[in-house]
Amino acid sequence: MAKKLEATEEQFQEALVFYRNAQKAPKSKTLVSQCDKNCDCYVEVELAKAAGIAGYRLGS
Amino acid sequence: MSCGECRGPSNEEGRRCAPFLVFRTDRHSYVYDGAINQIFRVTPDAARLADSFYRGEHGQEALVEELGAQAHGEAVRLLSSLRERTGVLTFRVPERVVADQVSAEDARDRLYSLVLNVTESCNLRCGYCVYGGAYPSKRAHGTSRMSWETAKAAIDYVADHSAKSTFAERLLGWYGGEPFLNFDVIKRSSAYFRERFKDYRIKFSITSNAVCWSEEMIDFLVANDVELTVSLDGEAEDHDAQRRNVGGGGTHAEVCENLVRLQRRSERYFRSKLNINAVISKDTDLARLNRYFRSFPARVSISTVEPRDLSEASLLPVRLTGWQEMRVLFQEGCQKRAFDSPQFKEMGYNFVYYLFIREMERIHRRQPASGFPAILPALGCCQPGMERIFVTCNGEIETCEKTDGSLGLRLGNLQQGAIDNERRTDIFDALNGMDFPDCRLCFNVRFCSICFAHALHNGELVPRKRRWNCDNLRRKSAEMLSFYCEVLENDPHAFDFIDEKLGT
Repeated sequence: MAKKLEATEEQFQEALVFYRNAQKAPKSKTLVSQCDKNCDCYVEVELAKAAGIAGYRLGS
Repeated sequence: MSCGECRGPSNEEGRRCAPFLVFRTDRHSYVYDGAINQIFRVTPDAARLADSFYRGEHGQEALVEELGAQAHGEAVRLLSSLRERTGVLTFRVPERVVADQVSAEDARDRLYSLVLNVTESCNLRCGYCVYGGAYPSKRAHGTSRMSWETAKAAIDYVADHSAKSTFAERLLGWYGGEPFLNFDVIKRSSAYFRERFKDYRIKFSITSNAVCWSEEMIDFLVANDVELTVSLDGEAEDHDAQRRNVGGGGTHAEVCENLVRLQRRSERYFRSKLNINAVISKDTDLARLNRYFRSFPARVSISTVEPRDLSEASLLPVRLTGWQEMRVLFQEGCQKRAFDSPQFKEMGYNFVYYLFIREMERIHRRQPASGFPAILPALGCCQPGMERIFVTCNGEIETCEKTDGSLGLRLGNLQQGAIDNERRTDIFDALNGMDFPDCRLCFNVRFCSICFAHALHNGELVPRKRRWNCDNLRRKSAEMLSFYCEVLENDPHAFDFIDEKLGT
């Protein structure tokens, strides 16, 4: 008989430490627009670069 | 292009792609699965096996040998259990990821936001300015000023095309050049905007270099609660290296002096409406920026310079130091519960808060999903001309200030009195027409904020430019996911302040 493919309960619970249940997901602030006057999509790329994670060598 | 290794199409480099990311912190290994938008903490062996497990190749002898039979078996059991009970690492990708165009009928009369480019004149000659003449698709410093008639026509256009907008506010921004060089139009347009939208909450915004402020201008900012963005690049040495006046002199002292005047006029305004934008254009130590801004009682964001061309040399990064130090400082702020109140600004965490909070919030707010829909609307694209327009000095209607000067993204002009819907369709078609198989297989698709502007180069939508920005965003998300988990490993309640802000 094939061995049942199940992890230990401890491993399983450990894996779910950051698991989100749909019902318990935090409410998002309502976004009425994808790109409003505070449109920051560009800034985010800029931030990424500035943060050293956008093709830059970390900690160099 | 079909990938010979995975079951989906590959990207241009033939990379093995899948919509999940395996990453680690110093203590643990994790899998983030974009299909279900969930993070799992797994054993190092399970992390090692995740990619082949996803592809159904985990039984390969080499893998069993590498991990050892027992460890391999345990890793497979863990991944199998997780897949069975949560759906993680199940092969499923959207058929298409598209910038989804709203129909002309649905897009009509939903404007609520207007940005007026009130002048092309500027009293500075910053070395990195996109209007400095070095960017082929961008105008050079000019002398054009928006007339009152054009400003009025733009406001009328928005007022006449906003009936279906459910947004509670009406927004007017002033851009330039240095917009205060056309203060008369700013004043008149603010009054007229209030008049046309008297039944709505009004919000004004302006981007200024803070070099030419009269007392009347400061009064205007405070009296109208104008959301203000000012560029200040940090220490005088750093700021003055780029931000110079027409005569070549540095402007740091004058900017700081004017900010002090503003703060003295209204501490409330200064703390609530001022946004500082620090532009990085050379090798930079984030710790140095942090020392300068750590107790600055205003929002601080960082931006870098748009590449002038797409050569390897232009895309080379500036070198940054101090990233790890910033991570430590942010975690310290979390652990001290500094971010529970605005007092974090006085506690020395101002810079790191704004450095990380947007991404931490985005990850923390993730909504679980049961998989991808067949057609996934993504790319972070707005609907050009639907809710917001940018109007040039001459009355041309553009998508936003980032697309200013890009003829391919121009939407119409006030003289003709309408946004050309065919132009909107052309814009969407151009972006969707770029072959983006990567998106279907990208772990970052739920965090992605790519828009039309990210693909713009010399006024055209260019795949290489978009890819460069995609790579940047993927690296950012990978780093931020790891940091998010690390923070919570050290303190499971570190982000409770985000939940509280959201009212959960």
